[in-house]
Amino acid sequence: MTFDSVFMATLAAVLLTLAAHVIARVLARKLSWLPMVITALVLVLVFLFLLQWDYDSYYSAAKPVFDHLLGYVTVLLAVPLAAMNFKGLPVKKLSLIVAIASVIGALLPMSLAYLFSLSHDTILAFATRSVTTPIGLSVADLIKAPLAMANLIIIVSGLIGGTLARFLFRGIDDDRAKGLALGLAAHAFGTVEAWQISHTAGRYAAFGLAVNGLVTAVWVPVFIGALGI
Amino acid sequence: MKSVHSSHLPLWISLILTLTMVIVVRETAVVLCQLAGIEKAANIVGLVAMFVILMIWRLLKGLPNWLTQASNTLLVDSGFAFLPVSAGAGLLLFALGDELLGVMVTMIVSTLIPMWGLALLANRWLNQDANADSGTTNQQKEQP
Repeated sequence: MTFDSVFMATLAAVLLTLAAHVIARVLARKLSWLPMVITALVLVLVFLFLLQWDYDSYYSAAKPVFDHLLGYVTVLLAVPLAAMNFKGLPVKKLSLIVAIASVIGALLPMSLAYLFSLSHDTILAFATRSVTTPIGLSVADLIKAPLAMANLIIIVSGLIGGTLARFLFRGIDDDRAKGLALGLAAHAFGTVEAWQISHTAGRYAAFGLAVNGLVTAVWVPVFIGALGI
Repeated sequence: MKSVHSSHLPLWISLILTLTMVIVVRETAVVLCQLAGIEKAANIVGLVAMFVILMIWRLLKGLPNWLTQASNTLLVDSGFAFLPVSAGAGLLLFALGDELLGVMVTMIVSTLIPMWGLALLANRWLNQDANADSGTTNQQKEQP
């Protein structure tokens, strides 16, 4: 598929993406078991295939607009974090758990990727494993990790964590602990799963997701830059 | 410190105000980061700056209700912003070749073990806190 101007290509890319997003949203409302992110992603690929539009040219057309949108979503995440009600939360202990989760969340996957002799780019992309997609992509951009790889790691690990959480949590009876672990280790997918366990679990998951994202976004780029990886 | 206070605005005005704030903060962060030679850090700098601004606002006046309502509405559709990259991630899964096994094992192990460990740790620490609280309460009850 070819376009006469950059503007037309960008407009077509935005409309295609919007169509996939809207259809996925409607489907997710009717079929609650359907993960919206995955449906929208598959729809984009189906549309590209039907239109015989190469992914690389679609992405380069969409990039100028979506780079801005990604930035706005990242900044917008500050609102729920700043509005969080800390009343009744054991803030000191939670902060320590978040610090442990943030360090392990970046260093464990990077170490494993190194042990498996994965490529340098893949090892860097694993630094973003435990943070939510908008922040993860901004961090990946900053540390020069491939964005698509970072996004793949974030989405799939979120799905794994959200899907297997109930099996893992069989010996744990405190919903606060379940929610916090889900938000810290499985970010957005984990937070969705936590809201299904209980409101308490959901609240703690949202706390874990937001604070872990913010903390990791600050130290990981500094750490990677200091190591000169 | 009040987290939010009630102040009602029509949703469309809330959305416009929230989007304006976000765009101004992010674009200012882009300009400042370009001047400082750290363009790639603009989104993270914008996030931290927005958080600091909101915390100051929260300390001084409390955040208005419309701001959280608008952000909740916008965040529901935030997936749209990273859909083109997500599509690339979907394609990449089929192009990993020799790395597929290593990537999958790394994702599974590095997600499940920390999640399980953190849940155990939080379960123990948060319950210690609750026990300590209930101990204090009992002592207080026993006092004449």
